[in-house]
Amino acid sequence: MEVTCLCCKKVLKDKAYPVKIPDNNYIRQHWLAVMKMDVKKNINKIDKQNYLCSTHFDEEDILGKTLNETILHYEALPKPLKFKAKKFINEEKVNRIKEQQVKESLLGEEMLPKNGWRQLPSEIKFIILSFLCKNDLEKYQLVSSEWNKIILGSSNTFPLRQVETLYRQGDYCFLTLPGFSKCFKQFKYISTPSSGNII
Amino acid sequence: MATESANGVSSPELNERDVVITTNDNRNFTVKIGVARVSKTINNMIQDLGESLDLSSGIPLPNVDGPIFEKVLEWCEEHKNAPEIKVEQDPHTRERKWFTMTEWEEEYFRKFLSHLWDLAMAANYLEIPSLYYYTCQKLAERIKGRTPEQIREMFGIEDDLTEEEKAEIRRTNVWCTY
Repeated sequence: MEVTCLCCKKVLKDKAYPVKIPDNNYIRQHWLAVMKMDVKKNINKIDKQNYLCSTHFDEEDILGKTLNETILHYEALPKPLKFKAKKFINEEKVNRIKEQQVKESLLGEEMLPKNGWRQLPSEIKFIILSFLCKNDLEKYQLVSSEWNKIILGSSNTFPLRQVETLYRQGDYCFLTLPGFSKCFKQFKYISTPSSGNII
Repeated sequence: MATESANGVSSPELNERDVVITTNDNRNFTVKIGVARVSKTINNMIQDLGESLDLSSGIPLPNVDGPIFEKVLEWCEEHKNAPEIKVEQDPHTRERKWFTMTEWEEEYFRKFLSHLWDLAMAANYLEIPSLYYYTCQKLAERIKGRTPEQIREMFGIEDDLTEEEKAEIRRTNVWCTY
């Protein structure tokens, strides 16, 4: 009897050592899912003529081969599809499209100044950044040295943090300000660190 | 041909008269002086020229092109009698307070989303504070919450910080050390 591979649709000849698809519905579901096949659509279509090529399994999972079948380790699972099959989704293509979509939504033509960012008047850059909150500003210091300079250079105007470090020693909390290495002010520590209550 | 000139620069009648504005692509726009005066740059020109202002020969705008000026004019017409905007800061956080836009303004920016940079540049040159700040706010809105990598991609900025510099920035910004 001629059998076909459920996965790659190849007709399996005598010496192909086909792998029988398990009867157990639960394991079948797993196999189909691993092969990225539509589980609902395929689970009941599997009949005695549907096998899998032994090439879909790792060699370590193959315990032996009989005349008609390949015997697998009881936990064996088929390998995810790697061959190009038109009927299956090309993952690379999907990822590429997704990346492109994300890129397009992020960039949009409007976000690229005609003459590039460098040609923009620094006044405009400053005003745009001035609308951002301190968390964003701190994060955007990492964009480039120019951004870092604009942000640090406008620390009087931008809402940058006034406190550089806050630490606890015994019953007291200490804070330092940017540019000051010594403790600027100390507070009596009242509550646990997680509550952050200090006086 | 008699040359028309602006008499009595501050008179309200003058605001109803037309002035020709020429953009850098040699397009002429006939605009009511009251509308053109939303731009401080144009207003200063009108005031400086005073009696010698030739309404028919036009005011040249060498740094703005026609299509953008058209959009700017739309804004000026809507805002010709609007009060000056107030730029405010939250006294506690020192963060800038974001402007609340009207429906018309939101629609305006939706319509010209792909020209935000040009609008910001034109508003900066023409000194139209409302358009300038609102456009910058719109641009900030699109930047907000993105990662530095995304920002670099957005604006085509080169990552010229060394790993040591980045580590130093990160170290400075980690402030809670207990």
